[in-house]
Amino acid sequence: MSDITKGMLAQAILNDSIKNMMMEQTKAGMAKFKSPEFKAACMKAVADPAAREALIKQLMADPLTAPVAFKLFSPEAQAAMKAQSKKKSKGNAKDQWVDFKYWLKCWKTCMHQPESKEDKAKMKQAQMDFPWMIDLMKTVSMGKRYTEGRTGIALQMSWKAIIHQAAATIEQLNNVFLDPENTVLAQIMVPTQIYKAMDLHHFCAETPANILIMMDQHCHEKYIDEVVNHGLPDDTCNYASQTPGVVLAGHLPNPGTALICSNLPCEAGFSSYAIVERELGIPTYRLDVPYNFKTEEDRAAYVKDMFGMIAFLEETTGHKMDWDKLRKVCEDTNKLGEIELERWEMNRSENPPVCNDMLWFPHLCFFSMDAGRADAVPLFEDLQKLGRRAYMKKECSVKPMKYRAILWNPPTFGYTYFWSWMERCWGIGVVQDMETYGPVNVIDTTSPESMLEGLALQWCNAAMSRHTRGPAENWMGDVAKLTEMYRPDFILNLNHMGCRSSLGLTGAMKEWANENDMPVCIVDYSMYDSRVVSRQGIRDQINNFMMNIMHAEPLDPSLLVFDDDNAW
Amino acid sequence: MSTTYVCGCDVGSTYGKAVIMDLNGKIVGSSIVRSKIDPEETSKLAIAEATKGIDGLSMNDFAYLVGTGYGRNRVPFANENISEISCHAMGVHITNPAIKTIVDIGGQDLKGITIDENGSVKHFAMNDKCAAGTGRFFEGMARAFEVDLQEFSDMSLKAKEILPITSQCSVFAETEVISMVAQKKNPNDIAAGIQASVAKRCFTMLKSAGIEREVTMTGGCAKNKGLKNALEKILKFEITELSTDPQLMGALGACEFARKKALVAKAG
Ligand code: SF4
Repeated sequence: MSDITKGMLAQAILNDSIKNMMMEQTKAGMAKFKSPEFKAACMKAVADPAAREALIKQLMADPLTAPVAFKLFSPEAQAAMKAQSKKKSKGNAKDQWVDFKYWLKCWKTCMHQPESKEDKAKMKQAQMDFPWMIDLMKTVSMGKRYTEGRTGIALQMSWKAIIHQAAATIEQLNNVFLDPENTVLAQIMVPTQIYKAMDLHHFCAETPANILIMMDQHCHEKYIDEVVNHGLPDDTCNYASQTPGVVLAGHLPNPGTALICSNLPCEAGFSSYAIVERELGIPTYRLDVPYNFKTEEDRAAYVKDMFGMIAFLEETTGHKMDWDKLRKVCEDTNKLGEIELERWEMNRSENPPVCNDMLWFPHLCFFSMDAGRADAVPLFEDLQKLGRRAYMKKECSVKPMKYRAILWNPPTFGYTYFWSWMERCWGIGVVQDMETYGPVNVIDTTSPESMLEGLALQWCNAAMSRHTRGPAENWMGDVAKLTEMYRPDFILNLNHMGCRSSLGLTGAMKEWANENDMPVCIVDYSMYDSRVVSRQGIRDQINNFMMNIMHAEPLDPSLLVFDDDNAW
Repeated sequence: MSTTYVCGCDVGSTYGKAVIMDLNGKIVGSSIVRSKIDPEETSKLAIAEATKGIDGLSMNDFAYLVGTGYGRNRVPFANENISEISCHAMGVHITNPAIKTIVDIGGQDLKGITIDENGSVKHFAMNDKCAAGTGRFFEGMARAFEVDLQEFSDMSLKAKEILPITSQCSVFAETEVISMVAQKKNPNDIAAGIQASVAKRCFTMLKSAGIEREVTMTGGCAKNKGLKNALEKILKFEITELSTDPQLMGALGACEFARKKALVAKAG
């Protein structure tokens, strides 16, 4: 036996002994909890505070029970629990009822099952093959995180968008598992309107990591590690590197029809999709969007490429483009754009009614992730109605709103408590953000060319594409313009470390801020990985800025520093 | 409770500092003590040291007490906690109002701060993630030469040339220095290289916060003459020295905030 083999054997025996020891300890612990003496001590502790104290002390002293006892009874854990119960309360009885009602609705949406027995069985099998699908159930806790401490109209608006998005994601999952022949695999940031007009479904390849992270904030880490172990540099933007990680782990459902991807939002995604393409081995179309889309020739090149994509889809899937259908989808998109403009306009008022994720989240879902959905129109009309009502009542969505901010760069996908933390701790309301803002163009529906040109313009201006990809004047010019329009108290610049293009512009942002006397809070972080900068690390940077530059007093000092394990 | 004295206590990662003032702003006591593991203990020790010699004054006797520094939240008897960035700015401002930019090198962090005409922070940039360019880094380097900090800080002043240190990380830099020592390179020249590399870090931080003259250094490392010299070479102008111990600036600023609060309370 070689030394290496001997070493491995010794390690295996050691691992086994550790495992056995832990199991023995667990057994011993369980036996202790079941013993009559322990039960009697518990009964006594219920009635007698002194006996309770003694029991807690005893549990903390015993190495078998200490870890659990500390989690439950240590002063820190007790304080966290108290804080938690305090912060979970959402306004008056009506708000509590609204919250409960939507919470139930959210559960109902997540538990949705297909009609037929056969389909049910297929979906069950899919859940076994792709366990991340279970994470969708956690949409409810995502809703809780987004709505933490929210009241009134804002509470309703948040829940509505979340539930709608959950339903849209479930629909995509049903498509890829129940109707794979008519479903294409698609990268985010490709004009989704085209699939709809061709009667094709699409499954967004970013779902298992980039989207489900909002439900389970650690679900994606293994995919980042997977792709790095595979050889992709670990400083690649993790927005772009996660999906190849999913593919390499064998966790991406493959309908086997076609893959559509593009160089939007940036080249990082383009290069990582080379891995996806290679691993999946399905026919692929790569849209190559010109860098500067301001000239007519550039837009014409994009339109030509879109015609190419349509021809490719027709050939590979057998579906035909229905231009009348595209007209209807574009009209819906125009309607959504109109509503969005009104929402933005309302946020310019003294009491902005749609701040933070209420502004960002629906835009992200129904403009950038799945644009052209017919059911997004009634959702946006609903949100518009609520927004108008709040606007008329002068009801700001952040209560109390102390600071107006413009958020620049991609926001914290991987830290969904972020928005509500900003509201609760400092009263910060983000009135406009980079992923949401971009010129909204009306799509001219008179001809196929004009529709594709309208779509080209829309997608070139979509989340990240317009700003982080360049040219630099888009990034800086828009900050300056929005500052004039929204009169923020400061700019919150979330410096996602993987985003080379925007990192390179931080200096320009500082210079501009200095010249214009505009405070700018620069937060270094990783959009998807709290192992790079912890959540407390993110909060500390904002805390420092708020205290030292804005001279602000926290609304709730207990939220300045807290243990994320006991996340409130 | 004494209505005559106020206190500022800066609980840093390596040293605890306290400053006591009367309501006219005259410093009547100060202290610098090595930090204990427990920030509360550090603060008690620092305040007890600073009160020595002030008759009849005890820990709980201040009109107002402001805690600052990384352990500020653990000073249970403080009336208020204020961030060390604001305190350093205020401390420097009351010591020399002409100063507009500070480079603060503490035990475990490095900050660049610009201040306005009232002593408020205009911008700041900080590195609290990595030990390079902090007091801890210098301690490691002094250890590599087997000299104390004071001696180390003077070594570079006698250098004939600057031997560049390429590693930014303190762990690798220490290894690099040890190998240079083993190669029998001149220790003073190596020390000059170390000072130059930290000075570059300070400069980056200052640039990030925005440099405006006059510039000063605060924190324990402000007493490092070699570093001051190296930074002046990069800035191409002289760094202004403070009349009060630069290591006390955080505590002094905290004390000034305490004094203002006490005066308001007295007036009200
Ligand atoms: S964050 Fe930046 S690097 Fe990452 S995908 Fe978006 S634009 Fe590209």
